[in-house]
Amino acid sequence: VNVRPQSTWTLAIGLVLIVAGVATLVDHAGWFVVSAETAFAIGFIVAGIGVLLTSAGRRRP
Amino acid sequence: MLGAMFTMSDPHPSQTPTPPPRRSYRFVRSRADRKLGGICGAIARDLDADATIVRIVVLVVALVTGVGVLAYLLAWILAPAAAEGAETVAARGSLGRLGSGWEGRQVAGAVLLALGALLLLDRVGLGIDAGVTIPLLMVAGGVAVLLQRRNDLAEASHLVPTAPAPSPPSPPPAGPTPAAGPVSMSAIAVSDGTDGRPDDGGPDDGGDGFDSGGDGGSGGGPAPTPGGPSPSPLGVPWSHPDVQGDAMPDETARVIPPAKPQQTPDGPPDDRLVAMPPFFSTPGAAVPGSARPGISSMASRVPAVAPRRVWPRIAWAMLLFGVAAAFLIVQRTTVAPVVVAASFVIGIGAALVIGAWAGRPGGFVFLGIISALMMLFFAIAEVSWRGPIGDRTVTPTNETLRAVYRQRAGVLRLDFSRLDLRGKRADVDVEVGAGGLAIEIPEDVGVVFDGRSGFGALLGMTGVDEGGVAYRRRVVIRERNGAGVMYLRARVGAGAMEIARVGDLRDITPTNVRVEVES
Repeated sequence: VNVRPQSTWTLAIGLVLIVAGVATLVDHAGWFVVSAETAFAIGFIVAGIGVLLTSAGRRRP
Repeated sequence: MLGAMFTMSDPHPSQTPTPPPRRSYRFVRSRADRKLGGICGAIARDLDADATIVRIVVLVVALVTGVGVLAYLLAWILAPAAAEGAETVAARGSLGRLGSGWEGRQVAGAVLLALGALLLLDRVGLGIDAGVTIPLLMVAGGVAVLLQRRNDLAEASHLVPTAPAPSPPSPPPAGPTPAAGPVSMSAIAVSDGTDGRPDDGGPDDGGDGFDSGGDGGSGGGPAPTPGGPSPSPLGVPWSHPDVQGDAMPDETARVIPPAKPQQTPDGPPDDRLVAMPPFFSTPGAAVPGSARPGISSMASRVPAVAPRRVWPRIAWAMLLFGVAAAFLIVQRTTVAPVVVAASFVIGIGAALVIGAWAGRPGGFVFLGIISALMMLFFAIAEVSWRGPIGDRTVTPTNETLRAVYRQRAGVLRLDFSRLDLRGKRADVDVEVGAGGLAIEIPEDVGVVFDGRSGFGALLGMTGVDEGGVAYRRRVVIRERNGAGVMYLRARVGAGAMEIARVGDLRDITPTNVRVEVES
């Protein structure tokens, strides 16, 4: 991503929510058994990667 | 003689500085330094700590203890917000001052990665004991706070000027004086009647500790002399106790507005912030010699009101439409509430990711947290949330016995005392969303009970009352005298369930009970 987000926390929370929601749907559908802790753990990792990736972008002028 | 000299050098000896009135401490949410509700910013403000560290600590505590989220939400709801524009914060948010060279964003990303890795390791059985992790994290947080405060003091000691050397007077700056902002102490030294006296608590200033006006010559102090202290590079005289009583040019005294100390939301004026030099307290101004972000706004600043944007309104409208649609879907279809909640969470998460580049949609963050908690609740409850609402008692007979009993909310009491199951078997599923479940089993009838409570306890039959989150227990009781067997599958989303013989047989002997606990 070229431009840094204005709010890193918003980005991180959004990514965590997306991953947790998808994991819950997957668990409910029975495709995989994903506990809530695992879902949020994956969400934190994805959010961390996202924040690190976007932190390398250029600043908004 | 000595008294005369003293009188001459201090014409107002009886008027000692009046300390500002102390008010009782009151916790108010921060408006100027907030990511969600301003709780962490307020804690950091009151503790004079880095808000990012506070946020990380709160996040870890929320994850480890599970009560942090609830405590945050309660504080969000109960604690009042700071008055608009009346808040003074030492804006931080840059962990780069810890000396590691990292920015706050990178630290936040690394912390998120570490949290995720710790949780995953714990799930696969390689996690560190919480009794070790929590103290280590607390020690690390404390060290970080201490390092940050030390660096703050070091930065401030470099930036706060010392007494300027006497120099030839400079002409007052033309045009608007740049001291209209929070250039506090320097302006105070000029505008208090040029006598250098502190406030007399008069009605002109509301008792804020300093005189609010002065004509530059009417205070009876020394007359302006050409040998007074030189103004700062921004045209404002430096503030220093050694030069506070010295003379200033009348023009300077007139154009500089009366300044008051920066008020904290609930507490005495922050003298440390007041004493900042002009450029240090200029919002958004870059600090000379500092290339790191965030330092420029360390001093006091009043949060500006962000212009209204269009996309949040559209997003809120879509959200309300989605809530209405979800309500209809749940009512008219068989879609599980957890699916609806998860879909909401995904949608709000996507909105937040997009909104991260558009602004700070704080309301959506709150909504996302609430939706995530509801999703977790429905996922853990594992009930269909169907059936009537309200307390009721059902007493079926052999003819009216149903295979499934559902109740959305309320206490459901199933009295099977009228069943005649001799030589027979009955299979019954029971689901209660929120409330309670009480099942009475006829005498001598065998029971194969599979009970699960999302948030609650299982009482009776085994003599052991246990419960918790996602608590599950299987109980097998042998039949006697060929009285028959009941296969019961009971689910309660939130609430307790009790299974007992007719007339309450909680004193059943363990000899004929086989308990399988699975939580």
